[in-house]
Amino acid sequence: MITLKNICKYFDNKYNRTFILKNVDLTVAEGEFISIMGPSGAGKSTLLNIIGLLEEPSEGEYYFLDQPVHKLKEKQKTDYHRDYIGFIFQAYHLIEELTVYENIETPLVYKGLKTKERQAMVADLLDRFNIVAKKDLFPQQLSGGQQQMVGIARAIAGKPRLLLADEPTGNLHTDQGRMIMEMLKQLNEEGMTIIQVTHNEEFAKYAHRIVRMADGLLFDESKTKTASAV
Amino acid sequence: MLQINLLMAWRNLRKNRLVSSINILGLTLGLACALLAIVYSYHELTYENSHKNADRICRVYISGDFGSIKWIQTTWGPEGDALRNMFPEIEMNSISRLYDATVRVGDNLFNEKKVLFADSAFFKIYTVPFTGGQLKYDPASIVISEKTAGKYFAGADPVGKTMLFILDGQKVNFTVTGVYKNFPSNTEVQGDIIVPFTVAKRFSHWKYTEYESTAYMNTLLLKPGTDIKALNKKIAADFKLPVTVIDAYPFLLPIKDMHLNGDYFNNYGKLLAFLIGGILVLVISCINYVNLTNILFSARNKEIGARIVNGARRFGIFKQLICDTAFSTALSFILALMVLYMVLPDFNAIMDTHISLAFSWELAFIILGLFTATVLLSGVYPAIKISSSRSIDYFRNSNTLSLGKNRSLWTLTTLQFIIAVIFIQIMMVLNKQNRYLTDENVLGCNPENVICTTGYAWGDLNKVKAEMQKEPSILGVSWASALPMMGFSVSTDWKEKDNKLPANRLYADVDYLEVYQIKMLEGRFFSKDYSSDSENAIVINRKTAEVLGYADPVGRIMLAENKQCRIIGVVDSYMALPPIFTEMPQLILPSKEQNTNLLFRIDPSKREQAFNYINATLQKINPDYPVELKYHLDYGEEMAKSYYSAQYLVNTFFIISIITALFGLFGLSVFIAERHRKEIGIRKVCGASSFRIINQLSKGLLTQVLIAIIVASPITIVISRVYLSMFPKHIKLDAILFMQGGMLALMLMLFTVVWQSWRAATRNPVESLRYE
Repeated sequence: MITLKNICKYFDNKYNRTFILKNVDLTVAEGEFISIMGPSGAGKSTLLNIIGLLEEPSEGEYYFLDQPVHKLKEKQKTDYHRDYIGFIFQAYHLIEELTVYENIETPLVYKGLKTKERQAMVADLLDRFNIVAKKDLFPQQLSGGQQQMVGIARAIAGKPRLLLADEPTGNLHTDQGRMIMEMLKQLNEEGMTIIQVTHNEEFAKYAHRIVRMADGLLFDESKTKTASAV
Repeated sequence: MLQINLLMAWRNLRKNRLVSSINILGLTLGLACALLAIVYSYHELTYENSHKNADRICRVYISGDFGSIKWIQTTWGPEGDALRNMFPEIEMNSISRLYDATVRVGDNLFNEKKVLFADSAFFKIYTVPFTGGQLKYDPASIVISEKTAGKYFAGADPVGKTMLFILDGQKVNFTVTGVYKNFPSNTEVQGDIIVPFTVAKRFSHWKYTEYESTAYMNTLLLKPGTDIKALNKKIAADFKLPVTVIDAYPFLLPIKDMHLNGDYFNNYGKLLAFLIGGILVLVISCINYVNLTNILFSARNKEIGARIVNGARRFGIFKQLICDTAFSTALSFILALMVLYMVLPDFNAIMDTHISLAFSWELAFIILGLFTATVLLSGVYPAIKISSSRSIDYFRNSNTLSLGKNRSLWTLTTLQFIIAVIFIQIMMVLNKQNRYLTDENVLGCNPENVICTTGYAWGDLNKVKAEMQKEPSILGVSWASALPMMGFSVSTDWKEKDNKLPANRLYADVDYLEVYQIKMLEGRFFSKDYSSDSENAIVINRKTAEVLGYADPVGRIMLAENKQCRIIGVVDSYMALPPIFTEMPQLILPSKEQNTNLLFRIDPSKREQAFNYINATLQKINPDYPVELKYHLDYGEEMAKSYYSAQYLVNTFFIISIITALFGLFGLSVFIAERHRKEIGIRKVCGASSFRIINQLSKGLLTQVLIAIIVASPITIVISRVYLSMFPKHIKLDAILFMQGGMLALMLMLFTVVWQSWRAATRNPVESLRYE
């Protein structure tokens, strides 16, 4: 599904070049659940942003569903966001001026669905995430775990094939975190490809595969499985 | 989608209540001013459109050396006929004259200032629609306007009723035969009552068949297709006026040009000042809007990021932001229309117009156009800026947005400060000049506490004076043909036989100098003790003495009024003519026992008592005449209403734009304080003093104000020079004045900024750090 070849990301200063990502190769198959781990500043979020088409690599090739993404135009990227990719953030990034219902509805509006269809789909999601009673509240009125639930509901409303989660549990306590991870696991079992960035070893293990990063370099766990068992 | 966008706009507005209110209120002020300016300009530019023949109607003007002025709007009586006889391009001509009359119907007794004497051609040239009765042109019939009908007949049908006129002391009865629609305010044709011109035969002093007085309006209707410029050239070449005025020749001015170009008051300048003022206010408020909206939008980065990852297109984001602007603008428009609706009556009163907000397609079009312009001006830039950022930037912390780093924001606010400083400085110049013109030393007389009324209704004024002198609250009584600063009666028959230099004539009673506190330089003023004064005495001013070249003028004989007069005294220079005229030689001659103005100097501590006494006494002397007392200063303002109204409104515009600019500044300082809330908390925890923080927050803005003062001052100097050159007597522009203006601007802005910074700096740091 995703193929990264020699991806680099760097900034040029006056005297030197600062690398954030250095020659990253990564292949993700459809239906996989991957955790990216590593210390702060390792380049995890940048990698995720590049996969999510929010940032462009300085060098390298990126194929998404066998399409050369590095050649896409802005408008096509928007279409990818609409149809294939969902995002979850550490800080939830719900739209504060919109209610729970309206937040979940947002991607469907952008997809151009009719009101009736949207209503049915949002109702399903509310039901599934157990937040029917909260649908008219604004994000600030919810707890962190609930906000992240809404965030996930919004991310999957458009039925994406890839879900990107940037430290989805970072702002939550352990119980809430577990709840979120269970939800992601369930989604993955239903066939959704998920890539998450996390600091938490326990939550990382929900994934099929753990990828470690340090100083812009990527080490694939699947190849050194014994090391991670420590 | 639109629905959702509007909903977002509304919620965003409520979320940022303070900044949004500043935004909307500022825009409301700007829009109200711009709307007013546009509506007013529309009124001014459609002058005379109510007359069907407007394109073919001309008024005869006279060009010539009339002393301080070079042309006059009114002409000698016979000119119209003479021109028509000579030039076949002229289809028809009409003579008319505005005059005063006292009119009585039953108990309704009023002085009418706008009684128009007009011949029958007047009704063919101009469009005068009748709403009742009809025009019956004979010497005993008149037609009146709807307003006059309402005033005298209160609802009853005036047609067939009689009105008693007192015209120059003669009583005449007229029958009303028709009622015409009030002339709109955008026509130079005036007249509440139209009297047949043939009535003029009754007055022996109306020598309208001779080249005697330029009190008449001659109107011409040209044949279709006449080239006015060519005709004017022919007239200048072929038509000779049998008068002694230097270089005098008549010229035709199309009535459509009269208002803007053919008036002593610079209506064109006024219109320009208005339009520029209105548009500048709008620009300032749009700049405010752009700044504050930039800020509001940048606070929405994360929301927009969330939208982008959920599949929003850039254009969709742009539309949403524009929708936001349109929403606030629409709100401001509604408020602005309400404001306009409230101020229009006052505006009309000040400007002497009848502008209404009744629905018309033109008005709808203007409002729609202004709406679009405002949305584009204020919304497009921030919307483009925000919607075209790189995706990733929406998720980064954008706390870096501050004035110092955002060049466009910096430029816009500085521009705004420059405009505000210019306005403050110009206002100071205007006000200083105004004060200067009311200064006794500049005027050479003291018009304060002088009351004026007509001098023609009370018989022998010597008897009135005797009566008035019994009252202690009345300090002086006199009468004269003109008041200081308002006189204008030019004559050339003085000095020598073929003199062409004009002088201003004044006929005054013995106490004139005392009432106005004008100083005598040499000799004496007229006195009752010298009976010969009424025969051949003359008083001149310093300027006349200079022109005559007499080192010791008292006692010398000079030619004036076609007779040899003995100079008995010289008065000090005082402003006899309106302030825009240069000083002229002045001839003061003794007045007979009646004249145009009756004057009283009253004791300022006993005003009411004096008013009551004068009222009662005059009423007793002539019950048939309505007593109207007016302060000289009010009278002056009324005479120069156009000048004062323009100044008043320009001042208002200036104040509003300054307020708007301060609004914007306030919004910015709120924003900066808010943005640095956490930083301030941290700094305070680290031991920074409040003063340091205030200094840090305000420094950037104050630098801008200083730059604005430096840039604005030269611009103000140029504008002020142009303005002051209108006045022969004017203040000197000095550095102190500009420093004061700059200081005032600085103080205002300091106050606006520092208040917010002070609040931010003195806040308990625990509060600002708690929720992080």
